[in-house]
Amino acid sequence: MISKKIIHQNLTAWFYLLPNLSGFLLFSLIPVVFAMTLSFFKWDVFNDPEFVGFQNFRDLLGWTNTDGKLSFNDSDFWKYLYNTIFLMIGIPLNMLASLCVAMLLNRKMRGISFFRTIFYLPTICSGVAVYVLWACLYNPEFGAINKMLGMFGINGPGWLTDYYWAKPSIIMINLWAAMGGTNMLLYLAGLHGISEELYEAANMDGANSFQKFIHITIPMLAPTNFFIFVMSVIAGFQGGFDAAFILTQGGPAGSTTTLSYYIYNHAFGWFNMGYAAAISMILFAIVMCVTVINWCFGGENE
Amino acid sequence: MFERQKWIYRSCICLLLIGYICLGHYLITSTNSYRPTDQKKARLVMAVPAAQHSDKIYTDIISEFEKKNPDINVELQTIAGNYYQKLLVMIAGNVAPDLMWMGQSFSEFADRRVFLDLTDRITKDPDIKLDDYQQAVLNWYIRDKRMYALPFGIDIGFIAYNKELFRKVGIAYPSDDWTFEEFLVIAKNLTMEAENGKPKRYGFHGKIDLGVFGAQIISHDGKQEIMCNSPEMIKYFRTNMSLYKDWKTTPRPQENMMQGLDRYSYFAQERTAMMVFYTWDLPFMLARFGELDWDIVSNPKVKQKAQWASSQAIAISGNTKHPDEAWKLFKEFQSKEFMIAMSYCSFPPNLRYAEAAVERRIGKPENYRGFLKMITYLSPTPRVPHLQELMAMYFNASEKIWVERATPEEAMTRLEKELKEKITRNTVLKIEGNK
Amino acid sequence: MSKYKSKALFYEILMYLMLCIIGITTLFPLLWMLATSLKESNADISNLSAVIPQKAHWENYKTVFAETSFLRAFLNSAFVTISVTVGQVFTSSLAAYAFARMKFFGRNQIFLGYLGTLMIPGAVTMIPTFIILRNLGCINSYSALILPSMFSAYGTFMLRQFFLSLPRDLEEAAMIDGCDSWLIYVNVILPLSRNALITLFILTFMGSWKSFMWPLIVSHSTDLYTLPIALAKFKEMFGTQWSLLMAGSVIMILPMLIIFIVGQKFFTKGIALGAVKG
Repeated sequence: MISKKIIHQNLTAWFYLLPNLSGFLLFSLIPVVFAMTLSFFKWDVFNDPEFVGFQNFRDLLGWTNTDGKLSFNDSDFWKYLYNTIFLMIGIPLNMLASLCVAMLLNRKMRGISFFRTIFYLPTICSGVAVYVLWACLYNPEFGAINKMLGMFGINGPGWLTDYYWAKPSIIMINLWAAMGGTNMLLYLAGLHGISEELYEAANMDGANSFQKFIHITIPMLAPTNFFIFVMSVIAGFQGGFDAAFILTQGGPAGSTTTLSYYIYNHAFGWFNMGYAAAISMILFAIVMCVTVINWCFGGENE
Repeated sequence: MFERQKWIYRSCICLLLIGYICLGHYLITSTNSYRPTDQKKARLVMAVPAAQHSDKIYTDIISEFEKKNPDINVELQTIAGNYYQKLLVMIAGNVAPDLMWMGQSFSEFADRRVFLDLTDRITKDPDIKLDDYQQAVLNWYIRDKRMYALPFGIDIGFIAYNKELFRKVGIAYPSDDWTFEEFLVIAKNLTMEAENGKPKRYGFHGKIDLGVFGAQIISHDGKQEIMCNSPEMIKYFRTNMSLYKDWKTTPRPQENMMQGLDRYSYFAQERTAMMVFYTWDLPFMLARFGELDWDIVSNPKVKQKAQWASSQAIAISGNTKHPDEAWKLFKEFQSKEFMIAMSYCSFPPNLRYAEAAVERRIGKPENYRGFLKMITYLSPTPRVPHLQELMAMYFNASEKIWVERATPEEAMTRLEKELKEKITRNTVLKIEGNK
Repeated sequence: MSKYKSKALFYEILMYLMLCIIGITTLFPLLWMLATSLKESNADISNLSAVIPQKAHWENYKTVFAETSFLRAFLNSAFVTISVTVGQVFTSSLAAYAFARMKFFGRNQIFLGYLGTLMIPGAVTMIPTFIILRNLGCINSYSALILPSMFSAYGTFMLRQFFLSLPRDLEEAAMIDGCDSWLIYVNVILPLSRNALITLFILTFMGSWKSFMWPLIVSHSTDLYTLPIALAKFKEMFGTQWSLLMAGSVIMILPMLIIFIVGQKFFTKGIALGAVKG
């Protein structure tokens, strides 16, 4: 029943698909399967792999109860998971800031494109250069920030060298870089899409600006919000490597190590490949759960 | 009009395409690994850590070697950052260099059977006299009675002090056999307070090395006993914390750990009277301290005399395709010229050359001769398998103590347990042969 | 009436003021970077009053180029980024066309697989990709830098959604005229989806230019370093000489900056429109 036409169609389709699909197989699918298998082995690249079953996961997630005291097998993992989640506090902050900036720009004014260009500059500047710049600005002895605070008589904290200030410092760098960035442009486009009539109707009903914001702007921006939030969360779980590597090498007493930096250390620092694969599997599971939850939540709103 | 636009558009794309192909061709063919291998020339790759002053010495020796041996081509790779990590990744990725610099992480590499066994070549070679070498440093590169590398420099940690400040306050210069009590008195006298309570000048910046307390992390005798939870180690932490908290002679330990701290400016601007430096800092110190009057002294004695030390050596990769040529290049780094050239940032382990280096030395530091005594009581970081990971755990634990998130007792007890688990887990890994 | 006008004026001024403040906070670090890069090599950078250097030390830039191979790193970055971007846009659009317009065996299942890989963190594929490339002997070569990034499920996904939204009339007209799928692709689909393609081009370009972790793992010869790696190495070697470090950062940022200022319209219009349509 398979006619020549269908065979021909299939062949053409596969011909178009081939470059992308071969790359997908070689660099996405096979590695994922490889990583899943690797997480059940102990492998040191220089020697032969050794099958250990679930031992890696037990070492990673398990806990022991000795003399009534609960102690985790790998307490560092939970700490770095906490670090990763803490750094994602920046996401709602970024979104709010971008929205505010977009609303400021969303009016007929002279020089709009000038401001838009300036706000977009930090996004253009590449990640590593931005981190190097801020490492110098944050320097407790010689950096500009502490010097400026010193002019007002405030004794600035150690920023990136201080255990409690390291993560907020990184959140602030991300805020500076993302404030007027791609998110803001997306919000601008979304705001353009809200028709004026809604606002006029609200005006006639006697709503003040705050009520207009809550009841019109935010609901109408829901799809944009959802898209930005999901993408940011997925990126957030995998991120923090560049900052940890360049700025703090994992931070004072491990306070800026994120999961991806931890995986890198285990894989390419100490060559515990199986263990690193196990951690990445856990990361994968977390990201999948979060995306699915988001989809259920966001899908309803749509 | 439209036609012309289309043609301009198309020619732009053609130009860009041609430019891209030319660029690609240039980049790919100028990468060394793609160069068509000249049958007569053997190509050696040598990896060393990147450092501003020693790079030139390496390149000089290599160009002289290439002149003497026209059939060998040598490429020098300078690696910055965590040298050992990057080298291991290179070896894991099958792009290992032929010769590599080797320092304190020797065991990480030796355990993975990365090196070429040099014992026969060394013992049969008439130019290398093993008796001239400082024996302790030589032993650091021996595994299972086979030699895998020869040192060409000893790196020592010492204390540099500002003689001008000593004269101002009226204290005698420290001598090489000073004790901790004397050190503390000097440090306290040299600390100067400012109005807002934050010291304007510290007496001492750095940490007193754990060797002088008699503390060890892991035993050096190969049995790998965990010795970090000892009273000596606790005393090490407490004393260094007291320097900051109780006696206020030293800044917060966290500031010691700061990246991007310009230590040379710090000392040169007289913000501290004494500061910990290492032999590799010497060239920078000479360049940056300018007219400052300074000298060096060994660590003060607490329980014993000890100086932190590491060493610099060259090893040959086991997978090298040109072992004989590599050996020829290797010998260049044991020559008198090279050791004396490096002597101004790393002390020669060959005692005869060391004497010669001390004789030839002019200028600061005047106590350069002190190194000859310091190498008799070296206290290195233990050379054990998986050193990188174990040291990372130790630094993690000690950082917790310095930022006061844990007391020394708690942190060391936990570290002891974790290290024991890690070592038992690691020895389960079967080490069978080369990959 | 005038009260309303003055209130509106007050708000206008307030908005302008806030925009200016935000603009200053955004620009200040970048200007500081430029100013510091022109200071003397070992100066006391802590002195805030000397923010604007007395004399512009342009030789800092010469030193940076001489001490490291920044030029080579820049060419490497350019080559790798262009290859990755063109490759990605090309293969993704081909595959998206197939998914959107052609019926073939297993179409929906494979597409679902693509969607699944969108969620895979880079860390998961990093180790196996390294091992695969090692066994192919590709580590420390341009193929290792370019090949893994050349295939993106995100691009295919976005373009497929976009193609699906295009009206079919033009294609049907072309088919009646006797064009086969390739001609339709080149002459109908591509011109219509210019915005989406430009968006994908820009996003991939920026992502590849900034990419740090993967080149860190696979590039080991100085010849092969891309700009972020070269800057990180520069920081590790000259970390305390801030003026040189800032000069290096400026060199790294400048090309992107120039491209941005020149092609501004494309950037802002492309991203906003492309994303809304997608």
